Amino acid sequence: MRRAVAGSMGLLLLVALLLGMSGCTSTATLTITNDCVASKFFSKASASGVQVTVTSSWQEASGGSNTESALMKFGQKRSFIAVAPSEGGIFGGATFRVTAVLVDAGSGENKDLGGGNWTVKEDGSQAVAISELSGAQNCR
Amino acid sequence: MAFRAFVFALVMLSLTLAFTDDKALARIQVGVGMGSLGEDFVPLGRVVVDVLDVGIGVLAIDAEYWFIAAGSQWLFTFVTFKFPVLFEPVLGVAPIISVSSQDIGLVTVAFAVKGGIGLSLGPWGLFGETIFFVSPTYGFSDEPSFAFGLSLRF
Repeated sequence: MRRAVAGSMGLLLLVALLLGMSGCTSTATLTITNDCVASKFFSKASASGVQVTVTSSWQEASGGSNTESALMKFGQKRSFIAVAPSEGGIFGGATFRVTAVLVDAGSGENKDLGGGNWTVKEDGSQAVAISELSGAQNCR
Repeated sequence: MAFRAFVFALVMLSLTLAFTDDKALARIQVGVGMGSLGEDFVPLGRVVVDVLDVGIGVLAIDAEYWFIAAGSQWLFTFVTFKFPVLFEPVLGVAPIISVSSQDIGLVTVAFAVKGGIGLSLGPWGLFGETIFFVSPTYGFSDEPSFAFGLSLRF
């Protein structure tokens, strides 16, 4: 009998722990693919590619945003993850502001690829390509 | 945007059929497959229409539609020359059309050159090809793309 009670309580504790953990790690994910044709031709040079900067902020959340930057080679796929604020609450989703620059380290030339905004629901994900940015005509 | 791309592809196909020299020759092949984009693979759709038999081979229009992401696709409209021997070697050249959620536009920085093989198994066929991007400014791309898949001939 004692064992059954202890086992049940242990199980309840485990479930509560799992629910608690899942409640504090809400995320939204934006995965970017570099399909910029121009970057295909100098992607071997270490400092060349598309320099992507992503700023994420949560809707209906006061305060901060998070900014990440990465150099992406042609064909590369990279996920940018926004983690919900630790104070909790109900969020509609995260807004990702993406800006990009085509960097040709060989010639030293940079081309602005403009930007774009995407909203991803809480616990959701979305895939976008560099061609969807406002200045993507510089890729072709 | 996807609808516009579909209409565009339909117009291209209609024009190809309209200008086909011998209607009896105008065999159509429809296929699906995968194409490499960097270290990843993306799905593709393909329509090939034989246009002109010149004895040693067949001239064809080969349209490939690569689905890179929901808002971004590439359309290659290859003009190909196919040799009617085992494994059907084929050579082709194509402009690249970028179809994105922003607009549809011709890629001027590069065009595509491909070499491939095919294997017919009745109405079904297998295809594999290597695609080089060639740029008037930058020369050949540092590494080729690959594509393979299954097709059905009508």
